[in-house]
Amino acid sequence: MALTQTWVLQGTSPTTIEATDSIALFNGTFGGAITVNAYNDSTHVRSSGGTDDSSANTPNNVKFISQSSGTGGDSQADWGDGTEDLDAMTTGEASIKLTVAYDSNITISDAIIYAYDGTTTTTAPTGMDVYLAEQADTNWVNADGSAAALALGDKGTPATSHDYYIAISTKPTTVGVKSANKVRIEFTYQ
Amino acid sequence: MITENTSCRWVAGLSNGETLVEGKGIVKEIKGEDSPWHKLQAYLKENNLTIQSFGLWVDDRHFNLPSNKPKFGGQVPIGYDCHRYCASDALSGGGNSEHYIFAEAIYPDYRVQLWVDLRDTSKSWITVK
Repeated sequence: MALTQTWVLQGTSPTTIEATDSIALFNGTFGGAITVNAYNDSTHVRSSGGTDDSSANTPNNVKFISQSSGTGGDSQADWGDGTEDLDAMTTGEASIKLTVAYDSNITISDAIIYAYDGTTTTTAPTGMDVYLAEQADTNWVNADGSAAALALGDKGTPATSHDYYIAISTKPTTVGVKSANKVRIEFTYQ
Repeated sequence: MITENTSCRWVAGLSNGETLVEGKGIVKEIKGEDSPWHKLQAYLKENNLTIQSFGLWVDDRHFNLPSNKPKFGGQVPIGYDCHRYCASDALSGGGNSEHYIFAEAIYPDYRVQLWVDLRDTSKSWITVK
């Protein structure tokens, strides 16, 4: 029996993020640096060879706008329609779709996702802040290090496949490439 | 893709005297059907049974949680649970992954967990949560 995780950058067409690929956030152009303390204007899949695997797929981008300036303290984001409350984002508008699949019907619990420095899971990523949200969440989580992880909803109905829809937005806090940082997911299933 | 070490299985002793082994008999793993754990839960409910003992077997090695008649004394659990745990880097050009199974003996105020590394089943840990 095998457990599989399929990560996709959503868009007009989906781009599968293979094991050796990375998600890359830029200023609107592949390879274009985001200004320090600003947020991503484009999201791409970068191959291990450094090319833009998502260039033909018009990938989604979700940009952090505010932590609590929306309706009733909701976070705000822009996924291409202007500033909206984060919880108005539909599944199709999220940047990332994760599918966890298994041969038999499983449930999933205690799933968390976070960014770290690529070495120590409790250490925040270097030179950047990473914000994550699951579709329908009201507020971004600054998921820097495992202790600050975004908790994903349980999948309590047994099934061979479970989907998660996740938005990711980043803000560099220093100048330079941040490719040593990593995103990590943890979950239990039965 | 993470392929499980299927030689590591949970084993449940039931109140009717049956012993069920994950992946065998009525808790066989079949594509598209409920997982062995969910089959076990359904079987317990349908037949009004309880788990009396629980552990993990790796080939001929048996790692046992306290039963309802603890071999070495101590508290009797009020229930059992079992999960597999996966942690892996993603979206970042590869990285490392971990894969474990843990069985739990549940007590009123805490849980005793028995963990086995599914990539190296000679490694096991006990923790209390």
